[in-house]
Amino acid sequence: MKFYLTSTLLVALCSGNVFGASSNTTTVPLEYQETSNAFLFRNVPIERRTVPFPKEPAPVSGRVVRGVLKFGDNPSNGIPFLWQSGAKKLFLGLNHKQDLTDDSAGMFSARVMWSSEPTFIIQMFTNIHLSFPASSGGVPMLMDLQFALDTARRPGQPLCNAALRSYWQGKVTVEGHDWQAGLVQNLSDDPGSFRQGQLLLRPWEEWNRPFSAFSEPGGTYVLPWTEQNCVVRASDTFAFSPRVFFEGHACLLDWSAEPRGREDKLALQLTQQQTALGELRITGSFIQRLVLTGERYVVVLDHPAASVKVPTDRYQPYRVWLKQGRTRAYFNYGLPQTGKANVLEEVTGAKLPVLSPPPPEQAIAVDEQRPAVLAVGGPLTNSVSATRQGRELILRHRLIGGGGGEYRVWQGTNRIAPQFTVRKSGKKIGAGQFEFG
Amino acid sequence: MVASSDLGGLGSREGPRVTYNWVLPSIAPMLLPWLAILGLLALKPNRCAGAWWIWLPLGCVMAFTLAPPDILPSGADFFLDVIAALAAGLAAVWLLANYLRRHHRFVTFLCLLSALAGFSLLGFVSRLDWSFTDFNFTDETLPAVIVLAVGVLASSAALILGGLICRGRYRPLRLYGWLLLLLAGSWLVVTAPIFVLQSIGSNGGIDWGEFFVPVLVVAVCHFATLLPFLILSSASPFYRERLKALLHAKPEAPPVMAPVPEASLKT
Repeated sequence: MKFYLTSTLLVALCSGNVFGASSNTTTVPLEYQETSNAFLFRNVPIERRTVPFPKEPAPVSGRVVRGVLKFGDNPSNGIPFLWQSGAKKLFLGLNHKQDLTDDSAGMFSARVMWSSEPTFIIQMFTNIHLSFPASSGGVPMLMDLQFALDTARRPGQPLCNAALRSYWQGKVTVEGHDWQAGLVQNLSDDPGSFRQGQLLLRPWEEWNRPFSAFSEPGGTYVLPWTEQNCVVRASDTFAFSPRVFFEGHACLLDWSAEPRGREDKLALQLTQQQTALGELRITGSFIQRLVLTGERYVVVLDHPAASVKVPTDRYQPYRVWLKQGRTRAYFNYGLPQTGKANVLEEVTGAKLPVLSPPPPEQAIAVDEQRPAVLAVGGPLTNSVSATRQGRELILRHRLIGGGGGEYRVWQGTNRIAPQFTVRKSGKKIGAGQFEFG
Repeated sequence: MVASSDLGGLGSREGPRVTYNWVLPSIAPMLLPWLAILGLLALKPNRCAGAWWIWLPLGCVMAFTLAPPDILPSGADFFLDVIAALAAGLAAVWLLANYLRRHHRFVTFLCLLSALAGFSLLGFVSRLDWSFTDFNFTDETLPAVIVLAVGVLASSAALILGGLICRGRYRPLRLYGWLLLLLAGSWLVVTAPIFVLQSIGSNGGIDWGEFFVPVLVVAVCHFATLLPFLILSSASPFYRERLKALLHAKPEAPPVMAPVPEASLKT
């Protein structure tokens, strides 16, 4: 809490007031911020190495895995590593060189994670600062690395998952409303890149609420199963777009220079743009956030009214989160026709959420001539469908929105499973709970 | 049916009532194996009261599959279908033993395999859902057919090899022991290549514990399915001869017909 208060004061002192000023361009200083919880997850491919590195720490007893963590295709971004699972140590070549003895900061101790199978080793290494000068200004990113190895079935295939815990943020005021603007660096193909990263944009009141950045489904296997589906549909951030529409204004985002150290600031410039607007009518209620991804603009709507003006564009996909009281729900687009919400991922053996774009007919075209209608939002309705499969009756629970579409309630990991009751002639003859997945 | 969950103000707790008319599956297909057994009982060699004892082991196994104990893991339903189908096939084999026995053991094996496969398959398909409006193969159908095929092969091989080992003299307990070992061996031989190929395909090491334990459990279940029929063969003279025919066991030596010594006649 102390850390947050300090950063709040700092940010408040140097926040940017965008469109109250005479100029159409304003600069918002973004500061480096570390969080206690990870918000972006990614599987890091490993190039296994059987020959020892030229310089390695003294050997210890127990299993040793060595190789290079491949962050993107650029080999200069690769990070040599030596994982001594027996000694619970990880040695990283933080300078991207194959000398694992020249930097004491490159040694990390593990927190052993629980595994359902004794032959499956999982160790977590936290508070690791990695920089990628080959694809960015070189400013470090804070992350946790989780190494795993199935010593029985796949002893030659170690797994590594990176979980990002740092981003850059600042406060921007538009039409008297404060917003938190943040940039999340890329963690996949262009590690460290801001332009290939994600943009965080949400009302300032939510600045201390943990958020999730968009993670590819394959990287979420380290999360509890009930959270994976939610994380890949998060709406706090979205792929960085230089054109953003929020609070009724179209903005062009840019910056002149990227920071090289954590103490530097990133000067985010917002320039107001003139663009044609069209009317969008939203039929549902309880919408907390609606993010529409168009061909020109990304539109962020916070608690939108039933009718809003947005840039004329064709929007798809869109992310919808509902909120009423303390209950939140998200639009679960991408559910396949089979109704199965997961697939079996062969490499890890984990179940991963399916994420596919909504069908083309769900795209919304907004023009100046006539209002476009977007049928999303509440109220939500519990529904059950029954299909016969052999001698069994399969019951499926679905939460249907006011405009159709399926939603899922997000109550953290403490969610109470929905229930069903079967009656015959008014008399209860059966009841039970639905299982997740 | 009504679905309910706490939506915390985002909607009503209870959803609208959904009506589903559950139509019981037709029982006609389920009667098929029973009618087939009844038909086999009408065959000339089976026209005696002792043949009707075949209902006892068959009924025991079927009753187990209809009301299994709670210790069975979820997802084991298809395994119960396999057990029931195998029991139907074994009952048919017990009734057809006179026809299946041939001069050469290998020919007997082929006849046994054919009969067991045919009647087991009949027993299996009779348990599928045959309501034509809503018929579909479930995800478990193919694995069940594969397990049944391996079970039929293992049963036939074990009975013929058991007969070969115990050919000198029919001793039930020794035969039971050998059949258990042979069934386990058959399952291991058939499934080991699949397991090895799967392990090689995944570039991982082979955890033989993961292989042996489930395969041996399946083999024991298989033997438990066969055991009621073996006990019947031990208890019933009628079916003892049938089993001995299948096993190619030597007929028991007839009583020695020695001439009565003359001295004794004179006295």
